[in-house]
Amino acid sequence: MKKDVEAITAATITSKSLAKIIKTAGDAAIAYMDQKVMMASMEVEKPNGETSIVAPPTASTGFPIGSSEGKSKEKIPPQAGGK
Amino acid sequence: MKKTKLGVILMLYASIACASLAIVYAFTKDSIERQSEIQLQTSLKEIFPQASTFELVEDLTSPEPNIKFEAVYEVKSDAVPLGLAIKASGPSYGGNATLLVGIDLHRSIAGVRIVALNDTPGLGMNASNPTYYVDKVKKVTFLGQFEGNILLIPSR
Repeated sequence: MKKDVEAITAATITSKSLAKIIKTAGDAAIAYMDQKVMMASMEVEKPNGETSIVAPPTASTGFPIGSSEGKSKEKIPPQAGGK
Repeated sequence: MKKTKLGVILMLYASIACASLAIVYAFTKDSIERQSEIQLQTSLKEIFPQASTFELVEDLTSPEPNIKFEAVYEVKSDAVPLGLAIKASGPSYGGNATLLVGIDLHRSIAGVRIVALNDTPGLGMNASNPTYYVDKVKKVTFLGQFEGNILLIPSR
């Protein structure tokens, strides 16, 4: 019984730890992509103060602004022996 | 006198064992590093099959103090960005776990691969088992459950 509890606790800790690593990486990646989009938008503005049309971020950086529109339906092929 | 002799013999054995280990390590170090690099490149190509280049990004660090980003790659296909791949490590039950997380341009998880994990065999280690399903009906693996999930904006 004690061994079972230990094993389940260990598996829970593993699961939570891996999920936390994935979430941290995901959050940082999104923040980075957003930063790139903002920087690219500022670079497009002309230095002499002339009015200019800021190009959409997707055109200059490839990083879309916070939405999931147009989400690719492409599926990543599963690992060998996986799904 | 006899105890001293035994101690000296033991010390000799230990020294020989240490020296042997050091020599084997020195000879195999390059090979191990090469294999790790090949494994990493394979995982990157599995997550982003259409990618042609993986450019290292230097200025992205982890916001969490106990999670470390070992490498960050900007994934591109003929100069067109596809997303980011982050090799991150953090504490788990049996020591540090290292994962490769791919995030595509649509803010969703393109894929996750385990680079290193030393957890409880049979339970924690099932996270890396491709035949262990968290959803047996849909046959979803532990890592598979994250794929395609859209990430929310961090500040929310």
